[in-house]
Amino acid sequence: MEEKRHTSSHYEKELQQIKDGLIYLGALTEKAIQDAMQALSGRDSELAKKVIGADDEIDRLDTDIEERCIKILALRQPTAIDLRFITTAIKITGHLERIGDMAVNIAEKALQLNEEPQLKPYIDLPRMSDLVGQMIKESLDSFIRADLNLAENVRRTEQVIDDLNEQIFRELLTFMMEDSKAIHRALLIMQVSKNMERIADHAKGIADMVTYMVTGECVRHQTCGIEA
Amino acid sequence: MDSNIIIDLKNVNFYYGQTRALSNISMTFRKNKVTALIGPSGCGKSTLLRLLNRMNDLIDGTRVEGEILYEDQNIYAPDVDPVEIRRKIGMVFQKPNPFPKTIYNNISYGPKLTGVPVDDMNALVEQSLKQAVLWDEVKDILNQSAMNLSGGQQQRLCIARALAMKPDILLMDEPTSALDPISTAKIEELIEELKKDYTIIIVTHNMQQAARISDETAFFYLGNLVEYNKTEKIFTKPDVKQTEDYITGRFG
Repeated sequence: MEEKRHTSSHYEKELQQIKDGLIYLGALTEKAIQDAMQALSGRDSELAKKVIGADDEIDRLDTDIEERCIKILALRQPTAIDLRFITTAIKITGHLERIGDMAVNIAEKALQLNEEPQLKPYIDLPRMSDLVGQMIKESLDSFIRADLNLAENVRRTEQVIDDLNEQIFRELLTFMMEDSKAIHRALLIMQVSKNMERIADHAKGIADMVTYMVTGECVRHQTCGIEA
Repeated sequence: MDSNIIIDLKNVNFYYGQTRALSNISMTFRKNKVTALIGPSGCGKSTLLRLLNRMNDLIDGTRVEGEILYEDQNIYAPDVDPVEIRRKIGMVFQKPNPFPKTIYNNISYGPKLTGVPVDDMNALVEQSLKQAVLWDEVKDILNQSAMNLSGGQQQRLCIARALAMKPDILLMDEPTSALDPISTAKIEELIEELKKDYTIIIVTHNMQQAARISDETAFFYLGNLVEYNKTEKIFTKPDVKQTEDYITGRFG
């Protein structure tokens, strides 16, 4: 449903700037994941270093968006949908900043793995990377459009990522059992997979906040909505 | 009637001449709660407030339909004395309006006039001023003119004056709109205290004030009751879109 505009056009602009900032931050984190994965599968250590360097901009944007939200809370005293929007935005920027850190973790593992012969062809990891990139995009689209179906879609994809992480873990175990020299590389790859799984958790966190923003209901935990 | 309910409106319509200012309002007010009435100018919230102690009777050409039950008694029934209603349901106005008399006489005037037996007027004055958290500031100047007090003190004096009549309900029509933030905070603190003993119904244009001090909030628009809900609900996730648009300041 199309929202009516605020009587204050300045307020309207401030809220729009937060939306724009989150979309841009989301795009940066998506690219960071994509590049980190490319650095690993393409054995491109220069690209890995770029990902690590680019995290400063993600951190800066996160701080900027959070400050804008706090300023609105202090000066505009938002209520109802505006209050839910601002609290959601604060949480989303935190999730995106953590996703940026995960991309840095992956890039750091790529740097180490690129120093050694490749253990195996990377097939499932790029798939995970594509899926989590899509989750971030969909979670932010669901935020911008207040689209509960998209948010639900993100929650469903998170399960696929969990399954892929399990599968990679089992596969790498067999490598480690067969050859002890593979253990170090296998552990690094496991950490990459675990980082992807954590990114999916954060994307789901964003989707859960969107559900809160639209419905006012908490869905983050199984205990949500149960009276203490 | 549920014992927690002190006022019960049933299908109330109100007219200024041919103009209908309130349409078919049915709602209840709960005892020892603060209820805020909000809405844009002309929505009928002050009209409704004034209906509750028959202040609109004083305006020519007005007409009430429906019933307003106060403790099971229709306050518009022919045998009801409006003066008695106004004693039980006191009112505090937007602008502090002390009488041009001493502080003491401002409090004692009402009880004397309505012939309420007051064994000890001094005790009543002290008690009322203490309840309105004004006693410490004025106890040494009770015989000075109330007009010398600050705006915030005058408003608390008006609250003390209303309390001296030992009402059940206090109606407040934008009681802090003419006051500075500190005086406003004092009145708000006072309202929180008073609800232990009184039921308070307040009209306010200050949305944050309604959010801060009320337990329940009713949103009016064009003479209709649009939404009546717990204040926390109204300000986080109202049920009605129109309420949300209003409290978030969107074009009406």
